[in-house]
Amino acid sequence: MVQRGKKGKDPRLGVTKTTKVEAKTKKGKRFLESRAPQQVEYCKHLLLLYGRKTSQTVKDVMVELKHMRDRNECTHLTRKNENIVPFETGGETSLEFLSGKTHCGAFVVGSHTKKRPNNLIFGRVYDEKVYDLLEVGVDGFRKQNNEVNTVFSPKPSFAFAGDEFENDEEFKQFKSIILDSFRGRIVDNINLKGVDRVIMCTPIYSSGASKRKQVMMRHYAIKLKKSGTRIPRVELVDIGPSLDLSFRRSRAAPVDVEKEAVKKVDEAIKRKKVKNVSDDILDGTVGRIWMKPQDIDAVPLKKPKGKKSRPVEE
Amino acid sequence: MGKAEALVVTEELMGGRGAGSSSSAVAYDEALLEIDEGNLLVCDPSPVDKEALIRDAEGACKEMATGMAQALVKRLFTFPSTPAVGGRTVELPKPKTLLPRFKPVPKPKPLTRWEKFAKEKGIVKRKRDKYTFDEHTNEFKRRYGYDRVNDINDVAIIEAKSSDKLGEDPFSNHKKEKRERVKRQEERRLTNLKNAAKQGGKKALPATVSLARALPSTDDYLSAGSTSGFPKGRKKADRKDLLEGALAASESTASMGKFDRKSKLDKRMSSKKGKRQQFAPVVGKGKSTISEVERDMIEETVRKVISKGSKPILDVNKAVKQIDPRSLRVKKAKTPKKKSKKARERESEN
Repeated sequence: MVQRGKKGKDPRLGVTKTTKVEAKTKKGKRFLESRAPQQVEYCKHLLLLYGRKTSQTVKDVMVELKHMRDRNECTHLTRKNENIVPFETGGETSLEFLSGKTHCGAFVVGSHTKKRPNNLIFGRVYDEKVYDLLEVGVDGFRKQNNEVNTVFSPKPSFAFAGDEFENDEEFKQFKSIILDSFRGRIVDNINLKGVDRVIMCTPIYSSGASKRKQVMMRHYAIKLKKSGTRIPRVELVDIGPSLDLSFRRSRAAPVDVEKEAVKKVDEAIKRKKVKNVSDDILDGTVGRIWMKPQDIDAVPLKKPKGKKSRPVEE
Repeated sequence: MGKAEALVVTEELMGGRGAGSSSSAVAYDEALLEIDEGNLLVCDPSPVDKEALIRDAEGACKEMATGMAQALVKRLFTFPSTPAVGGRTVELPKPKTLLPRFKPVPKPKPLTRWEKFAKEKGIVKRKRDKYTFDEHTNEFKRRYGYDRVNDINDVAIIEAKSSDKLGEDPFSNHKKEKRERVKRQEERRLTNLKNAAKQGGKKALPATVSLARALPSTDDYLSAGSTSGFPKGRKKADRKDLLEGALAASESTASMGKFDRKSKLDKRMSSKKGKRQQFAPVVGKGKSTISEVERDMIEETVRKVISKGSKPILDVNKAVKQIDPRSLRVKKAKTPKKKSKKARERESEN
């Protein structure tokens, strides 16, 4: 029996075949696997990019934010993006695409308009969709202190002071986003020397009656000094950047999405055990490798010179 | 905490110079602070000293930060530690603060057809040795892969069986069977993937594979005649298609069939071909010498020329333009050419 396709169409064109498209190289396969959803996520990368128009202040802030993250965990796109206006409908499509391309779960969009000067939009991505948004304006900004020329650990400490971070929705969101954007990799162990910087956030209060919600963000280096006890005394040095921010628009995550995204994962299937590698207190990390059985008698060993036969002198 | 080794703070561990100027710190009660060691996070949920912040924001902020950092350091330094390169490491607990994931938790893989069947029947996968004894060579060889047991490549002679057909090569038969087995397995794999995609969508597939819709390849068209492996719902090449194809092939010469003998197929197809040019008959039927169509055309032309309202037949402007004015020009008498300076000099010398 001859089966025909839809009327008016070439029946041969109407029917397609399903084929599978696979990664052709091992490298490509590994790349795709690294982008696939993981049971336990260890690190959220940060994407820094610009909207339609920017100011020098916004650009400077972005560079400073970049320096606060590990170089491998942060992507800075320096061109302007006409289509990125996350708060408007359809304005997040391009952002979602770029976050997918760069594999970043957190982002900051910098822009500058007459209505909203020196604007930063913090946000996160879940399942290739914008999860939440928080818009802040930069009121005060000081660059990193160039006198402090030390390299800091990629994992900062955080300090949040004030009851606002527990009660106010916007402050709460700010705390969550800052922690998510800058905490870096989740680690099992840490070198005590690596606890060398702290990001401090506290609300700003003005003497006037203004009701603007503002927050100050400071970045200090931790210096451990002798105290005479086991626990050292802490001294802080302001290394910058310093930011005074005021809240503008915000969009919290939908309740159902939040329920799905903020989930405790079964940690039992955590890290895959690395085969043949063990830790030794004295030797450190020890790897065990397989050697082919050797025939020691047949191995050409280096002959000591003294054993060489010499012509006997008479 | 009992396991904690006595940790003496040395200059090296502190990573700093000697004690500098001391700055004041807010003394925090550790019980009132919320410390999440996994994230290295300290929170002070109590209201802050507003007046101090208004008076000197920078100073007050730094004082608070010092106190909170001190609390965190105190907590971390009481953890059991192990020596490491350039200091000591402590084990951190899991982060307490819950943050949204980047991507959803991966769902368990959908079962393949075999896995489903095995589950129903209670078939358990058992581990087999990687190496087995090869009776031909009297040594242990791999079960699969290169240099495997019972490898057809190592067999020099295959004994003939009564079921063997004449003219068939058992070695190439082996190869052919192997190729078919591989092909069939690939097909099974594709079916499993398709079923998985149907159930769980695109995300149910492995990250390295995606399904695509493609037009059937030319091989499928060629195999249109055979019933096996013919995709459902596709049109079989019918009589007309075959005829068209055969005709096209017969005309596919350098002259596009102009000087070739007409194919018999052409007769069958020609009845369906439409006329490209149409000519009106010149000679009429019966008594009339010219056809009706021809007469109508002549009458129309005459009417156009003679009728009163018609435009003058001669378009003067157009007619004038037709004449090339250069052809009307009277030729001038030739003027003698100007002599060159050298020629003049030569003349004067003479």
